[in-house]
Amino acid sequence: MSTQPRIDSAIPGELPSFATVTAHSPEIMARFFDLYAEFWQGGEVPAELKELTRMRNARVTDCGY
Amino acid sequence: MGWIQSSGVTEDLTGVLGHRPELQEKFQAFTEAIEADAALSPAILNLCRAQVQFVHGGADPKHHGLTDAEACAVRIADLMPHGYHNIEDADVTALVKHFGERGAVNLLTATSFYDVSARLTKVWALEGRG
Repeated sequence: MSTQPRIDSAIPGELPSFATVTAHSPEIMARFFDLYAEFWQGGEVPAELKELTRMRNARVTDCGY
Repeated sequence: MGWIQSSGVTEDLTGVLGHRPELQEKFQAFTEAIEADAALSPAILNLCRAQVQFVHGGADPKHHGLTDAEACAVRIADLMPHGYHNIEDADVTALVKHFGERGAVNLLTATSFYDVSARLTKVWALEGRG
């Protein structure tokens, strides 16, 4: 898998990142971050445990993000 | 019966997510935004959804006579669940060629979340419930 960004940033002058690439589709980006914020900020599971599972998932899936 | 009881709204993924109404609402708004984006046709999204579900053990969509653009989209959908490391630069370049950068972002996002939905449906034992 490439380590170089495959889609340019949608925001002039900014490097490609998850946010600036997703910004090609502003409505989808907005709804995604609404969902992501709710996932992290709401619910019964402590944020520390969510972060632990996020890191484990990233390791298992070989994600460097 | 699924392993987690529905919240009572419906007996499917939406029903279980209803235990977290705010999360369910935002999950639905997000998936609706994917479906509503004009960069991709509903037909392309349906092809991708069917292919992701097939990879997860669903019915074989038996694609025939796909256009180059459709074949490119289905290849991404085929790889996203278990083979995303095998998505090559050329695959994404082809996506951008056929659908533009916005369409490529939408398609990659859509296939990722079709995968999420399929995984949740499996883990929550909700197959055949909507």
